[in-house]
Amino acid sequence: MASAENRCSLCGEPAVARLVEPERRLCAAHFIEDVEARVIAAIRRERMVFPGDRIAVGLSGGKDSTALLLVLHRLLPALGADLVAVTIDEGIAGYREETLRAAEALTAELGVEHAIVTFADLFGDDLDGLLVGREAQGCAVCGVLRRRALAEGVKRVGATRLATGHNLDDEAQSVLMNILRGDLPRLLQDTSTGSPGHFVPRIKPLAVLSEKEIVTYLLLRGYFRDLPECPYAGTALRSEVRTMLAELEHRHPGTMVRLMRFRDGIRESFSLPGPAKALSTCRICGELTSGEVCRVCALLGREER
Amino acid sequence: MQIILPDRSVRTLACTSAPIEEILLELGINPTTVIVVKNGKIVPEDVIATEGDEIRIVRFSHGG
Ligand SMILES: [Zn+2]
Ligand SMILES: [Zn+2]
Repeated sequence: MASAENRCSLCGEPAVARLVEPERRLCAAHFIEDVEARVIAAIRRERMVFPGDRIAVGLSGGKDSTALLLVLHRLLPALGADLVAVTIDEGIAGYREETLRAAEALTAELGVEHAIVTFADLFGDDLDGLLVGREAQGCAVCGVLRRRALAEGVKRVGATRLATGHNLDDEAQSVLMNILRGDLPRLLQDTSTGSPGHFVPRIKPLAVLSEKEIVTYLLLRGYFRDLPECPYAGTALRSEVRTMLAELEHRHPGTMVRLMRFRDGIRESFSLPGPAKALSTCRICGELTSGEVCRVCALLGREER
Repeated sequence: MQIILPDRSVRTLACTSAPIEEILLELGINPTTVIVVKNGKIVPEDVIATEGDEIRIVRFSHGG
């Protein structure tokens, strides 16, 4: 009977999860240990953190960034780095109030410095107001503005790196979406190094964990909350890719990890020195851009003064 | 056995014993998108549920 054999491979206690590569079952305590060990191994392997770093976690208050803050709060002291949280309040009614409260409660409990940057403060209005008449573009507009707001938050708290809660599912979905859109530049784009004086390096320490592993970790540590979801639906392509990948992962375990390996392989074979893409500064706001006017100013319809 | 679905509705299944994975697939739920809690404890989906068990399904993956 499978249930009679459901014991931790390390200590024999009842197992909470079955993992592959290598095949193992783990009890609650060993699962938590295993998850944290895989994250710190990824941080070391990909040189995400250096002693003296001040790491800003982009804390939405949702499950992934909550897990990221919990994990880094445990791991960073050993790496000689400091932790701070930045939350962006886009001003999305019925969604942001509760997640913002969750973020504030968590940082207070852990004693982590917390900065909140609002769209209203930065862009003159909240997302709901900025989107009137173009609600269907919600996620695209928000993505561009949130990126800028996070950069501003990182600047304000004096962080050296920005850590985001992207998990294996998110990353594998993005790889497949870039392939399906035929977007090779986006597939190759690596934001982990940043751009001196302009963008701080972005790191994704949870990209080695599946969404399921992250939620299991939160449940075991008592931090899983059923929070409202953002009312602005993501892109149709992402939701189709999510369903498709989840089915493939079930029938062919390891599919998502193999997609990431494929991406890394492609990045390596393309990482030959080439002409750097010319960047200039936006003639309206002065931020770095590849054109004359940055995407933030274009989206907001800002005019030259 | 009693199944508590992600929407908190409760279904009572007549079968006496079955791997939880089979129950999920029967309900049209992809096991990689949920976590299974059997009698208050998280378990892998290949564990077998028997009569009298309470199985709670926690969904976390939105969409699809
Ligand atoms: Zn154990
Ligand atoms: Zn601009």
